[in-house]
Amino acid sequence: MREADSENEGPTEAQLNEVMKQVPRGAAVLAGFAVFLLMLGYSFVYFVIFIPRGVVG
Amino acid sequence: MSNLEQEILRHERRWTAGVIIAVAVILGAVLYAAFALHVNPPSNIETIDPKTLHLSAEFTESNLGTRVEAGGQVTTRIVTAQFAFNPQCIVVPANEPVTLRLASPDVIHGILVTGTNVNSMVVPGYVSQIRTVFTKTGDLLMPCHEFCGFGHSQMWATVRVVPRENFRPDANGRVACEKS
Repeated sequence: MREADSENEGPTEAQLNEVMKQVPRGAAVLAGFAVFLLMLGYSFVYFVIFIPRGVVG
Repeated sequence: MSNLEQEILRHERRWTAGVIIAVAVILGAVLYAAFALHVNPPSNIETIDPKTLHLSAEFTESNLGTRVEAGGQVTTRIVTAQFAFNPQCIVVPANEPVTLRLASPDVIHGILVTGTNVNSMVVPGYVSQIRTVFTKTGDLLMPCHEFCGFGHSQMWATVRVVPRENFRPDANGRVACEKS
């Protein structure tokens, strides 16, 4: 009866903590990759398009 | 504070540092372009009466186009009107400072010169001024990039960038495209 109840209640506190240990690292990798792509795109436009197009003011 | 909270805090601090570095790099690139390379948005504020544009000294028809001024400065004056640039072709020397001055007698126009950073609005009542150096020779397209009416798509001009030795002003300091 107890086993059945615990199954219905979902993951235990220990299991949640185990998952939560991994989540920030995964989020950081995903967000870090997105920011890396953003910086790559910015650098490409800046160095390959903007700067060679010359002085203006 | 639990180990888990400390772990999350550590990640947040690392992430904050990363974001600060990214913003600093972008800001540094902007400042480098502005102060070291002198690349700035054209910010000339100079008013002119659009109703008497063609009668005023600077933008009368005989004064339009490229002229070498007394100090050797190359200045090009262009009137942007529905639906043409006057003149439709301008000549400028390569690798020398050039000042473009534009004015509109009717509605808002915009210009850009393909392959360069020249890009500005031309607003009636104001003189748009852009200082630049063209580094590549050849004919560059200069379209109107602000919708100005039904003939907008037909409104374009040519910027002919020629080597310095082929840039030959006449007795009045004027240089114009050869008529073909």
